[in-house]
Amino acid sequence: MIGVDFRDHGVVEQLQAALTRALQRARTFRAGLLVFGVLFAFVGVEVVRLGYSMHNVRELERQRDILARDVQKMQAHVKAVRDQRTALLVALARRRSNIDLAEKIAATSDLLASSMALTQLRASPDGFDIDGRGTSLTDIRASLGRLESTFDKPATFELRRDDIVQSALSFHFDIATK
Amino acid sequence: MSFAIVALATVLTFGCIVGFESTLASVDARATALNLEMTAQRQTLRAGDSIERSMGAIETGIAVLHLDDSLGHQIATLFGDVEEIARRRGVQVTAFRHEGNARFEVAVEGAYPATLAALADLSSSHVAAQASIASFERAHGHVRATFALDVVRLGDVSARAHLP
Repeated sequence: MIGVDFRDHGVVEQLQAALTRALQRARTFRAGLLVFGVLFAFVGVEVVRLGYSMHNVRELERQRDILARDVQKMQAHVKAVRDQRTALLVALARRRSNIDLAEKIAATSDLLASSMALTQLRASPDGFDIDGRGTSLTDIRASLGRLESTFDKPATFELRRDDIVQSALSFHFDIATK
Repeated sequence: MSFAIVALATVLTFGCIVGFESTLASVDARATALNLEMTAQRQTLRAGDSIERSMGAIETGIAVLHLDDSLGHQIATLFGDVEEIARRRGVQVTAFRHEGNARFEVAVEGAYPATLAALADLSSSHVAAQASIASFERAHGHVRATFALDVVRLGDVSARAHLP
């Protein structure tokens, strides 16, 4: 029987050394895997966070666009409502202006009543246009003074002596209302 | 696996993380800006809702003044009002003319104070009409008053058409 003693050739030491190296490499590889695993985990978490945030932003942008359309429609609606409210206020003011006009006409005719007989009175937004018949120039002048204290100065004034015998005076003047 | 490779991978990973964090910060800033913008938009919508609630009163006022009615309906209403005023003030309506668009000429005859009161009474008319010209002429013992009335009309645009 032929026997081989491995110890004589150092085979056992060689095997032990090889096993030790393999074990060392395996440990190193495991440590490397661990390190890389941790690093990839960090990167993975960041990727997931970024993806989630970007998804949220896209959803917010979608909601913002929907709201922007609603806001645009609402602004047009609000403008229309404000226009209607303005029209309503204007209508009320114009209707109310009839009282103001009647009061101004009444005040004017009251001022002139003592000195002359009015034959025609025309009121417009620009002022009054009055025709009347007085008995004397003094009365007419007094009426003009009273009118000037109430209204603006007459824009035009015209006296005509129609009948010299009766000293009747016709006059015409425009009064811009204050 | 050498130490150099591990160190390089670590450096690369931290570089990536720094880049991701920077991108995340900008994305968060964008999200914050969007949230602020949406808050402002919601406030605008709430303000619009409050105006929407006041629209009922405005529409009631428009209906009361017949601003949105057809011209024919406004003419009928105005004529009825003028007749009612004339009856109340003891004057007589001698002319009622539609002079195109929304202008009317109304002539009444009677005592001067009554015709003047009739002019003032137009302020309580159901139709919003403004006397742009009022002319009083004395003849045959009474006064003939002529009023050029401008009836206020609303445009064709309705606020309801713009509801979101």
